[in-house]
Amino acid sequence: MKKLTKKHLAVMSTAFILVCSTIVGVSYHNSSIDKLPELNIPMPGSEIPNIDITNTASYNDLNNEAMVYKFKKINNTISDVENLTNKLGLKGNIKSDDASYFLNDNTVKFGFQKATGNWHVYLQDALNQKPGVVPSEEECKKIAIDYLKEKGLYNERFSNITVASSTGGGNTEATCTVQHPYTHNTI
Amino acid sequence: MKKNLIMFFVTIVPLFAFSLNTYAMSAGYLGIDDYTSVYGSCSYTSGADSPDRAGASYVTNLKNRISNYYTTTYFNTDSSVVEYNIRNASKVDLFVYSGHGIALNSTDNALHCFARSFGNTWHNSSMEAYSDVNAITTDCSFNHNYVLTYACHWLENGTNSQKEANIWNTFGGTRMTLGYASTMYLDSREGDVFGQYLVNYDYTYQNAFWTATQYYQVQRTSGDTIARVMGYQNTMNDTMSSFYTGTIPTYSSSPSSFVYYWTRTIPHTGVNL
Repeated sequence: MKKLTKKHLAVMSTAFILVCSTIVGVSYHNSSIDKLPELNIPMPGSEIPNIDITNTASYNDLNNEAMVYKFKKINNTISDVENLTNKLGLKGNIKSDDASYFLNDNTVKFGFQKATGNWHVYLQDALNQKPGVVPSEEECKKIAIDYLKEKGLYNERFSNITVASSTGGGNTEATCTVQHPYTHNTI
Repeated sequence: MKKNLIMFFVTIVPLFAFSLNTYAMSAGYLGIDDYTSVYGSCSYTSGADSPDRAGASYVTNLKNRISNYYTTTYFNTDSSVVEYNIRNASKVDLFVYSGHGIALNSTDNALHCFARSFGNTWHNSSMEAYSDVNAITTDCSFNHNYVLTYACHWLENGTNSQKEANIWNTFGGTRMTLGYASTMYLDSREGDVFGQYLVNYDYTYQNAFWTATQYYQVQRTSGDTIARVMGYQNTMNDTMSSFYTGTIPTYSSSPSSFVYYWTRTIPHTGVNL
């Protein structure tokens, strides 16, 4: 067996120090990740937090960019859209092009944007109704929520409904009247 | 000879019938992204925002979406868009301006260009009210069938009857104008969505506009957007393929036949889409 020389000891000591520092470095790095704050996405209607971050750490050895959060792109399929139109009680074949799924005839116009998931439905019967007594703001909200519940579409995201009015019909703005109120959920 | 004539009609009639089913509409686009330069910059901003707006991008997106149906008569962007060209734009079916719009004073609104009509390709904060950067309501009498001003304030009357009359007098044969009666949020993606509903699904002009704008305008961080459509009462339900075929008067010749189609407030969320 060879005798350990000073040179061997020096090499082994250096290697030991390197291994230790790597272990310490990795565990420090991991503990830093553990200390990241939880992702706090504001709920509907809540204020967007005013975040003030001061950087006191040195990041000389890190990459210039790092992924913090990843937004998943959801691919809405035709069956998702059919599920929605079934809930809405819409009849007819859903068509599709590069941008949207849609259902379009004399009685209904339905559009579902593939890129965003934004959808709308216009019912011609409802649009043809002449303005009558305009419901109060609270009544409007109740009508909207009841409709969504009836169709099985209501969830907690509809918690910040506001009511506005569509006015028109006059030659001047002063002679315009309320055509219909509409609700808007500010998600 | 008779046989040749029959062959001629057999060939021509289907072609003619086909042409009737093809929409030969025309469009003109004027859009401005750049309101800054090394020589000087426009001072119309929103908070700490740059004065730059995505107007050129908006008209690009819209043109790309509808160009199979609306032939492009002119397409000008950035410093090629000047107030002189807005006022004197040749008649098209669909005229689109996208960029800054301003409530210039108590009686006039203006489509606000960065380049001056007869001079520099820029202006700075001391030139905001110059006549050669502002196409003002009293100088515009449009005869385009449909006018889309994707810009702030063009249809805002400020409860001033003279300003309201000046807005109406921009209808020099126009069926309807779609725009805003407030500050608005310029999102170039809205051009594509408006185009989709106009040409792919044959929505009425006003409904295609509403469908697109109610989605994107919520992004403002403060203040609500007020969208508005005004026009000749018989053309309210015009679509790309089905429209009123009678003569369209100017507003000044028949003021009682022009109405506000609708005015709608779009609550803001401040959340970017």
